[in-house]
Amino acid sequence: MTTIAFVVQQTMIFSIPLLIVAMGGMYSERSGVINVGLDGGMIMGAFTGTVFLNQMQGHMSGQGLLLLALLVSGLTGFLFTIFHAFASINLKANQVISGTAMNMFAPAFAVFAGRLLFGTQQVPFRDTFYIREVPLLGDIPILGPLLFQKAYITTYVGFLIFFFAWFVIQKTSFGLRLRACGEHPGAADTVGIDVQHMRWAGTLISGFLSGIGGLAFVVPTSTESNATVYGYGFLALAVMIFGQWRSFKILGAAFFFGLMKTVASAYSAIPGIKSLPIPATVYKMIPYIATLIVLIFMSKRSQAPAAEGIPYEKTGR
Amino acid sequence: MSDQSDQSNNNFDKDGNKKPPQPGVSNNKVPEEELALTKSVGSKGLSSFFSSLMAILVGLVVGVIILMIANPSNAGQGLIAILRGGMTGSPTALGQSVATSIPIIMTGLSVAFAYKAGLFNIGASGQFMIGGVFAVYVAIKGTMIPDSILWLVCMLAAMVGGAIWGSVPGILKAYFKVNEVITSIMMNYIGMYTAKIIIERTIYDSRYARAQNVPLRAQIPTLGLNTRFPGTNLNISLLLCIVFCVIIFIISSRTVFGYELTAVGLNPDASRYAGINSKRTVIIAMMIAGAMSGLGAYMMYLGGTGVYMDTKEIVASQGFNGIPVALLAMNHPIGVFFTGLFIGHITIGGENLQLYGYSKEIIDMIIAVIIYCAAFSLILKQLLGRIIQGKFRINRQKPRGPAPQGPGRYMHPEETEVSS
Amino acid sequence: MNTKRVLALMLALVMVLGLVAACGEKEADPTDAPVVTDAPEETDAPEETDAPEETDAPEETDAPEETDAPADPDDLHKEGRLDENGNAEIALITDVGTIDDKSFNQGSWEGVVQYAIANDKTFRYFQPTEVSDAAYINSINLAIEGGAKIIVTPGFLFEIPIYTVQDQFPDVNFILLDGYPHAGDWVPAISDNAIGILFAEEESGYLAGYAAVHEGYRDLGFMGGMAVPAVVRFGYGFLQGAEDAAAELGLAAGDINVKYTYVGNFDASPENESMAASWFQEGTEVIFACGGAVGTSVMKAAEKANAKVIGVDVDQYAESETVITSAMKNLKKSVNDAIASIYDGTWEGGISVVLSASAGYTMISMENGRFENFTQAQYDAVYAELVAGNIEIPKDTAENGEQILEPTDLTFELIVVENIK
Repeated sequence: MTTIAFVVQQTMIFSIPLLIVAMGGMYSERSGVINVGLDGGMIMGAFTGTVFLNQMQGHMSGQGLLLLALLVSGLTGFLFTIFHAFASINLKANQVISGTAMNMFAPAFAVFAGRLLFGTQQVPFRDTFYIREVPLLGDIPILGPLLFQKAYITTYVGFLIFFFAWFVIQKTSFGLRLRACGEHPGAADTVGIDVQHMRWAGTLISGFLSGIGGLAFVVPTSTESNATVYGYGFLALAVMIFGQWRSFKILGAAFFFGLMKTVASAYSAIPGIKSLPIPATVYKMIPYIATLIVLIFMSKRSQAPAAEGIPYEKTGR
Repeated sequence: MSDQSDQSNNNFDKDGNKKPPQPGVSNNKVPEEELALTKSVGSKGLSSFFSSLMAILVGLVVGVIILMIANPSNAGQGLIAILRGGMTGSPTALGQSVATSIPIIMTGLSVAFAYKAGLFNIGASGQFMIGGVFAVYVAIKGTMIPDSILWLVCMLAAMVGGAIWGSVPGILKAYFKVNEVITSIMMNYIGMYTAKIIIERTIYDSRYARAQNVPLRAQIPTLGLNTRFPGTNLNISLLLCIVFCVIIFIISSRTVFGYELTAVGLNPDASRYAGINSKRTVIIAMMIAGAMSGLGAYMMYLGGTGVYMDTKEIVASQGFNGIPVALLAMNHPIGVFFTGLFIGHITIGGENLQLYGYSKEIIDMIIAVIIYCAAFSLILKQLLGRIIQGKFRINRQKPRGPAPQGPGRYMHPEETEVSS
Repeated sequence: MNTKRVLALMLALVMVLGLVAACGEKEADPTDAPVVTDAPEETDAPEETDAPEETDAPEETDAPEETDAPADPDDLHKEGRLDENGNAEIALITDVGTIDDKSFNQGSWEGVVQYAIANDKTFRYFQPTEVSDAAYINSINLAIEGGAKIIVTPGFLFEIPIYTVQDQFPDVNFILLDGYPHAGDWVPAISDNAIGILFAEEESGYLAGYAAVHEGYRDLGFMGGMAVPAVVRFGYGFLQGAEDAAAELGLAAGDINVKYTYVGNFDASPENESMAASWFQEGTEVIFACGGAVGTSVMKAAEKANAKVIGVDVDQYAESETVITSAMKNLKKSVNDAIASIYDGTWEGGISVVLSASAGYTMISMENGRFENFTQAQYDAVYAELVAGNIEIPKDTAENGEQILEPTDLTFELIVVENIK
């Protein structure tokens, strides 16, 4: 049982940021804008979030501080993505190019700004956010150890974001309009939806979530941010495609990735796997190979938004 | 078309030596160039070229601003250092600038070629690493291969390795309709670990925790370039780069396969009706793209500049750096050669920035801004068209000289509907 | 001061935004402007204050600006000091890491800073563009062009580059740490203006393992970065130290378990955190994190698991409360001493030296240690034995020069080594 609980707790560390960022990516793509700049958004969010933590930790601590920092990260991602939205929607730029530029800019900026502000590129923070056990809930048998012990509040924030995001895109008229812009922008336009506005919304939401995801990635895994998220933004992109641009499939994909990552790095603590004579490098490859295999089996037809990546041209009449 | 490449060469040189534009002050070079350009309006390549040039200018202006913020007193010198790049008079700097360019030219070529078929090859890194490990393996283990052809065999090995790695996303795309972006990302990581396993099992140098040194006899022939230009480590790989850029250019725009490629890229379904085997086209396109990435690794690891295949678990950055090179060149194979050289040039310029107390990350930000502005190419081209049209309108009002037949017809001014 | 910087930065950001927007924005309404004269982007810039850019200026500023953290006094020397011509006499070229890697490069840089500040010398550092001999040589050339008379290069990756340049610049002194110049064949080829400085890392590792067992820990872990000689020496020393302490305490065979691995990188990645967490989960009490930023991940895992960490290279006590001590090699002192020897004329080049406990170059941190049972007296006793040469510790190579590749190739009687590959 403790092993299972451990694996679940560890999986959260990998899955939650991927989930948040992939949901963000989904908003962008289903509105019709490809955002490969998620990695850059994460780095920017992680940077400003930890700067905020670093500066504020003398004044406050605990979950409130972390939640504020997540907000700061989200806003950073939001602002950062304005560039991408502006280029891809208003200027009809090549969205992959613009996103690539975001990815190049963010780490360089984080190093540069970190040096300018602190003299070092690493931004350390004090971790006062670790939850050993959630009161009451942590005592629930089975579920307690799985979900309410040894966690970060980012886990719950992640789930909240997921359900909220799912609800908005699937059950509200806003969501419907957004999706319409990604599938049939022309049709959406004829019924009076402002395609540009909806795409701006989708892209900025993706930026906001990528920023949050960046901090949610750094806080549970490190004692400082270091201008990188180790390519997890690209993995989130993969999670989103793996999840076929659908909320619950993305949830499943994020946890699949997280579980594979956990097995790859914590295999020595998992009985049964431990005794197998397989070198560590092979375990590290498993998440990626497994993803490829699963993709082949799931590949009957892609559910990519039909109009993603195509700048919308109002044809007039 | 060769005319265009000459032009681009000139422009880059010009840019490289250009006076530093001051921030906020209009750069008076630009209008002159516009005037010059009006003479050959209608050349699509040229206007793409010009828009790339504009992107570069904007990037440099942003760079100056960043320099001013970090340390205003040295900003001028800093900008000169960036523009001068590898051309500081030191042969090592020049050689280093070329050595930095070569792998990204090849990965850029890889990305650009796949783009022709509508594929985004974000997996150049994986192809690069596998190509590299194949080449290095043959170089070290191929003791029975005669010296005279060893370099060629290594080159082929790199191409094969890259092609194998490129074929996987191609096959999955063609037969299973799996998005090539996700498979390429996965293949990057799998390639990284595969390369690590191969190195550790076969050609490991445990004292350095990396692959053994490539023997001298396997290195790329120099044809005496390194002795003629001492200190530069030059060899024939720059020439090979040119050759492959031209080959790719010919394949993509002068052959039936190139035509099929473009057709598949534009509309796979329609191309199938036109009798094109789109599955085969996609796979071959990815294999060629992979081979180009592998070649980049070959030129880097066997280039005699002392780059070794290490076993750190880091995806090779050269693959990702090829993306902006291709994009800045608007996926034109010849353009890739020059944008690659340019990026290598200012990367070394970025290192030289450190002489004036700046951190070298500034150059990455500048490159990012350049790429970002390059993303507006379409719009910039249209703007250019309009600008040119405007000029001609002015010309037409002058009493003498025949009114040129509207070059603006290549552009469609009404088509853009931009609202912010 | 800090606030000012933040503001400057934000200002920069806004300007950049404006510019970039200008670059694009001009396209928004080009039809209005048929007249073509100036370069569009610059002229547009000032008047271009568009909706999206404006919004972010105030928002971004409010984040970090609100407080002013105490400025770190070290900040002043982070970027070095130049003379009026922009030159510096002492230059450090970084290895793969940066001067703030809290490990190898940083230790060396601190040595440079210490000497230069105390003796009023100019100094700075360079970061090469990539990891290759040619790129390193290019950086060395750059440093010399920038007035360097002394070049400090941390890391064995500089062995071949220094070999290549040492005779080209006979007036420049090269201080190479963790290696010695050679042509790629491991035969020392050191010119008089160069020196190779190696450390007896196995001694530091030994002390760490010895202290951990005396402190009362029975389940130990060693997470190395990669199996390069210095890391291997740390690791083998750690095992031997645990073995000897177990013997002294009269423990039975099998009482001490050591998990041993090389993670394959020097990063603070979530994978490393997860691996450390899994070890702690299985009952490991203390992990010797021996690989630069890998320590950051291990410390994070330890904070969560209420477990302990042993740092490496430099004293890492300030990084986390979980650091009980650090296995150090005194990079700072070695660099400082080497530079001093050049200025005071006692320089002895052309050799490679192994700095060890006998001269106080290898140690663990006691003054900042967080031990409860292991005492200074015990430490002094074992240190004296080490200095006297009474303790035999395995290194990365055996007597005959063959490399010992796996910890399982060593023989221990009391401790059980679980080699995780």
